Amino acid sequence: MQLIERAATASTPFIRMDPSNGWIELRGESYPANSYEFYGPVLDWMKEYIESGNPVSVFFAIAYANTSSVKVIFDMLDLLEEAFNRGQNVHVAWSYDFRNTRLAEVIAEFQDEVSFQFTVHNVPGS
Amino acid sequence: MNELDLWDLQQQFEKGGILLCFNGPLSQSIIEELGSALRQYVGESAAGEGKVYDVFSVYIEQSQNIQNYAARKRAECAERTVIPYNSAILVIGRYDDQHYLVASGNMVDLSDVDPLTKRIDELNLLNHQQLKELYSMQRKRPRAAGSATAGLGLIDMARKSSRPMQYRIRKTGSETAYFCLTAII
Repeated sequence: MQLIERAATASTPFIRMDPSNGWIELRGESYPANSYEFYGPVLDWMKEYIESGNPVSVFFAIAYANTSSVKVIFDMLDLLEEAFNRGQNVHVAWSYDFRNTRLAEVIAEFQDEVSFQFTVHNVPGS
Repeated sequence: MNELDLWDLQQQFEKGGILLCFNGPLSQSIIEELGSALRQYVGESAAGEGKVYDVFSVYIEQSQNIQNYAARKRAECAERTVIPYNSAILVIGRYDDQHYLVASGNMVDLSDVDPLTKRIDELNLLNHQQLKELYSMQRKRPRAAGSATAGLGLIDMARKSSRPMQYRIRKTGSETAYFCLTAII
């Protein structure tokens, strides 16, 4: 599997997916014109990596996600939940500015859907 | 055509509390630029981070709904591309001391009006908890083949609106109408 790295744009996040340690990073804004097209390769990479059975960690620092990105993130969490239920080591962390109460609610809805470790971290000004 | 009186236009915007207005064909970069101005204006007004997030997201959902609709129409009926589905008016303004207004207008097929207004009427009847449950159900549904949307945009707008969403339809031809949607956040 290949290391994937994509630079951020105004409406899409920086993405880095490292097969050597199973670390996935998504940082920035997420409101692409077509989220499925944009995230298709990311979901494919995750599916393939998860098949290895190795631990996987996803670091989100998404400051805003439109509804189609939210749907894609739920799809990612579903994949991770399945892996966790098969006994795989899964960890998700989300960094954001805790003053953003609405984003906190969005993240809480993500947390409600999973049973693996999902931590949040306060990064003021992010 | 009369000479364009920008003073009149400016006065109308001023009275309506309009912070930003765009009229023309939409593109991703225009949506990004207007969004960035919106965040700056709303952010400066001492509204909380949560409010900025809500106004921004209703604006994004409205403008991307129009883009997605235009893309669908282009794919469906290539021979009717004369209708400027992708052209829209987007307005962001102050509604009162506590609230912002996000409105949009675009050309739609008359045959699409009823399903859309029925959907909005239904959403307007739901309370916060019911909208949350509907959102959760909808997000679990598999996406329609070839569709670029998650079907969550209107539900999300309803969740963030502090009063019922309003629409207005003006018939523009035998098969088309101008559809305006306003949300108060």
